[in-house]
Amino acid sequence: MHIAEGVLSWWVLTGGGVAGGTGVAIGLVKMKNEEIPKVAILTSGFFIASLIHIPIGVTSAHLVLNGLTGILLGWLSFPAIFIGLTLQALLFQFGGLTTLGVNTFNMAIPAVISFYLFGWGVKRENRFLSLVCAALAGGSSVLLSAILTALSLSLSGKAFNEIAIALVGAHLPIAIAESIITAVTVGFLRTVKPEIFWIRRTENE
Amino acid sequence: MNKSVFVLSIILTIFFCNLLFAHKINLYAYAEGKKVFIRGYFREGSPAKNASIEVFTSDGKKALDLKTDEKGECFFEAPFRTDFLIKIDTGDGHSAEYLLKSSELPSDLPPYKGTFFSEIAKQTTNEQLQNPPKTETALSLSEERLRAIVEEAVERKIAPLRKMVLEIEAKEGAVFEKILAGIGIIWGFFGFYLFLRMKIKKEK
Repeated sequence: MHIAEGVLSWWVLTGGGVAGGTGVAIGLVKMKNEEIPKVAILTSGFFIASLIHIPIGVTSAHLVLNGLTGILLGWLSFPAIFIGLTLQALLFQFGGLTTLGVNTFNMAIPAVISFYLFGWGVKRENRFLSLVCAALAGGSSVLLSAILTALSLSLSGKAFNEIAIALVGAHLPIAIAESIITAVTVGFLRTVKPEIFWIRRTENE
Repeated sequence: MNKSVFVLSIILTIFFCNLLFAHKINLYAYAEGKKVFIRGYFREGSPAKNASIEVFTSDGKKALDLKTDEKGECFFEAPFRTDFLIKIDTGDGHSAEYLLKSSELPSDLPPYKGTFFSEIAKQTTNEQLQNPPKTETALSLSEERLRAIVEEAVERKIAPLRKMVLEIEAKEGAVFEKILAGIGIIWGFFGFYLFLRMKIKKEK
């Protein structure tokens, strides 16, 4: 999922840079001062999560946690994921620096989409609905990221069908794990710190 | 009580991450005489199976296409002495490069003249037919031949050492420290960002 240096064509890198940069700018504009600690926590979570690896078949896949990030941060996922990816590239040489834009976009836009598709359900009183929405957000974000990664690679000259099947297939177990993790985390937060959901709601509704 | 459980679980997660950590594809190669061994694997140790390997010569021309086996390894015989750029690609965005320097190959290999492997193979067979290798007695061992024999013997002894060094180099070191560094940088960055924003707010 973290595309390395030297794999993508220059125009995919440029387009990704613009898309990622725009997203980050939107996130920064929308960020309120009170939300910054929340963003920092999720950036740290994202940073660590991608380091947890599970070898699957030919390749190995990692946790992404963009579903959880999306539900809690909305558009703020962009700066969070961007910083997480930058530090992963610098400290672990995981993912390229020129590919930061593309990778940020591929991982953050599913987070934002999950926020709009499932964020409302997570904040409802009904606990079951909330957990189901959380699980769906967690699973779908990973798979959408995998598809976008396959698309980025195919635009740089590789066969889309093969990569898409390989990437989505490799990430299916991850998607299942993440839906459980997201649901459990949301359940925990509802009990311990429900304010974490309400802050965003008052901004956007 | 709930808050301390939350904090504790975060700390435990950080500790356990040390065990299941970062992946990035790694590639190295070493030469034993003419044979170049190539190995691709992920940082946590699992081999890069059936990954496509491309071998380029020093002028950028592609010489070979190979595939790694179940153990993530493959090899080829170098027909001439040049730098080889070896690239691995698992097809899902993971790729890496390794440059095998010509100094690792035996000095009695013919120098690279710009032609491809298959042509070189044909050339060498023709040359061998026309110029059969001279038989040598102990007294008439040429200095060149002696040098090549010694090099080969030393290379054979060094190859496992070189492999060990490459593997040690390739292991990801100080993972836990890097995780702490990353988290520290994240909080430092956001803290400073918040400080700047509040300063701007105050000035308004």
